[in-house]
Amino acid sequence: MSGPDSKRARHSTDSPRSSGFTTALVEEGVSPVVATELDRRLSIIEEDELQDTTAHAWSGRQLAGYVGVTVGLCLLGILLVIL
Amino acid sequence: MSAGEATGEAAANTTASAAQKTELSKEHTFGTFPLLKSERVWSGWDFTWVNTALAIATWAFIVGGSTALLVGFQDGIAAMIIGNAIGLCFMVLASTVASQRYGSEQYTMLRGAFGVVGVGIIVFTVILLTEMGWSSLLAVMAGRATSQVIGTAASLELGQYGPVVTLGGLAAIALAWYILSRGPVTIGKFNKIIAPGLAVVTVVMMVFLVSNTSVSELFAAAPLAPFDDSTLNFMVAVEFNVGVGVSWYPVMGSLSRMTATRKAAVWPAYVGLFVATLIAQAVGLASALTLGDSDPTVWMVPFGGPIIGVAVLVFIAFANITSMSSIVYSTILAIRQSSGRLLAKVSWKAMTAAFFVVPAIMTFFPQFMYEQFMVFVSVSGAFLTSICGTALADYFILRKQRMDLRELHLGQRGTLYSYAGGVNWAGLAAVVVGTLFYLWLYNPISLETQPVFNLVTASLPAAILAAVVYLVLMKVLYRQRPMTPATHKPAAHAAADVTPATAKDS
Repeated sequence: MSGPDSKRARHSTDSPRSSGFTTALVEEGVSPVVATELDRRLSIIEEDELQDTTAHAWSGRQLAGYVGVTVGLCLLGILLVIL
Repeated sequence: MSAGEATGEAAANTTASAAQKTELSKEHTFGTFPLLKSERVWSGWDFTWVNTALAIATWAFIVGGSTALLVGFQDGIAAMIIGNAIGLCFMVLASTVASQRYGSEQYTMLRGAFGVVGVGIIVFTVILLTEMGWSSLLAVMAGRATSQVIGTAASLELGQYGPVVTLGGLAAIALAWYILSRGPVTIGKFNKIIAPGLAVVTVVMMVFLVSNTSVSELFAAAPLAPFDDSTLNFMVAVEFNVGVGVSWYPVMGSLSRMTATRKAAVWPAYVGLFVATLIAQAVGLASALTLGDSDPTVWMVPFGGPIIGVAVLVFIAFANITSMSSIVYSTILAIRQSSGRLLAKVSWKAMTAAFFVVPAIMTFFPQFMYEQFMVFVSVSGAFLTSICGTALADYFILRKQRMDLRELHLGQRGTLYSYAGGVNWAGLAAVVVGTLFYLWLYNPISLETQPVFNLVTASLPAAILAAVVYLVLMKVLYRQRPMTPATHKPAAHAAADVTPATAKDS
C-alpha cells in the first residue's frame, strides 16, 4: 500500500460507519479480510471523490456537448446519403 | 511463552498472513474490489488500443457484409456512421461514466436500477446469452480461418461449414480458455500485440480488396438482398448498426474502470470503437458488394496468395481467440459479482470452462451462426438498448449522478438499493416494456415493421420508453424512499442504521 493511502485507510477504517459496514458484510458471509479491504478501498475512493474535481458529476453543458457530437455524426451520415 | 511456542505462533501468523494475501490477491483479480485512483492506470491511448483490438475483430467484417445485404456502399457507410453513433452514444454513457467515476464494475452500479437479485437475472439471461452468442460466432470464424489455412497448406477443397471448421472452432475455444485461465494480465499482453497488428492487417486487406476490384465498381455495386422499399432498407441497416454499437455494453463498464480519468474513458470508448469499427466494417461491406462474401477467410488466400493470405488468416484466427478471452473475462466477472456467495467457491477455471460449453456446441452449427447473425444482433440489441435506457434514467435522472458505494456493496443489508426479494421490479418491467416496444416497431425475425420505424428506427424509442417507464414506476412504487445519499452525512449509512427492505417500501 502506498504511504498516503495507508494513512488515509487507517484513519477512515476507525470510523463507526466502517465497523458497521464490515460487520454487515461479514454477517453476509464475506471473509473478514476481504470485508476490511473493501472498507479501506471505499473510504479512500469516497475521499478522492470529494477532492478530485474531474471526478464530479457531468454538467448539463458537458452532456450537451457529448450528445452534440452524436448529432453531428448523424448529420454527416445524412449528408452522405443526400450526396 | 516458551521459545518453541513463540516460534509456532509466528509460523501460524505467517501462514495466516500468506493465506490472507492469497485471498486478497484472488479477490483483487477476479472479485469485487473497486479500484483505487492509483490502480486505474490506463491512459486515453491505452484504452483506445483496447477498444481497437475489440472492434477490429472479425465480427466487424461480418457486420459490414450483413449491411451489404440491404444497401450499397455509400448508403452503407452512412448507415454505419449513423447507427454506430447512436448506439455508442447511449451505450458509452450508460456503461462507462459511473464505473470510471467510482472505479467499480458496472453490474455493481446497476444494483439501484434492478436490485441485487435483479442484476443477477439480467446477467444470467441477457448478458450471458449475448456473450455466448458472440463467443460462438468468434469461434466459428476462427474455425473458418483455420479450415482455409489447412486447405491451402494441404491443397484441399474444404467446405465453408465443414467438420474442419468445427474442429478449428473447438481448438479456438480451448486456446481462449487457456488464455483466460491465466488471468487478465495475459489477456492484456496479447491485446497489446493484437491491436496494432489488426490495424495493419485491416489496411492490408483493404489494399488487396481495392487492387483486385475498382472504386467505380464498388460505388456502383447493388445491395445483395434488399427489400422493395429503399427507405426501409436504409433504416434496417441503421438499426442493425445501432445494435452493433450497443452490443459493447456488457463489457465496456468493466474495462473503463481501469482508466485514469473520465476523459480517458468516455472519448476513447466512443471514438475508438467508432473509428475502428467503421474501418473494419467498410472492408466487410466493400468485399461483400464486390466479391459476394464479407468474410476475409474466404477471399484472403485467393487474393493475398498462399503466404500473405495464410499469414493474415492465422493472425485473424488468433485475434478472434483474444477477443473471445476479453469478452468472456468481463462476463465471468459479472457472473461472479451477481451470483453473490452462490458461486464464490467455484474456481475461475471451472467457471470459464462452463461458459464455453454452449459456444462449443454451437461450433457444430456454423452455418446457423452465420445465417442468423443479423437476427441475433437485433434481438440482443432490443434487450441491451432497454437496459441502457433504464441505467441512464437511474444514474443521471433518479440518482442525480450520486451513488453510495457502501450501500451498493451492502446490497440487501443497506437502505438505498435494497428491494423486497432483491428485485427492483420497476427496472425489470422497464426493460421488458422497452424490449417489447422495440420488437413491435421492428421484428427482426418476421421482418415486420411499423410505419414509424422508417422515421426513428427502434432502438432509440425503445431506450427512451424504458427510461420513462422506469422513472414513472419508481415514483409510484418507491415514492417514500430516498434516491440519493444524504449530503450532510457522506459517511453515515452504516449497516447499523439500516432496516429490512420490505419495511421501507411504500
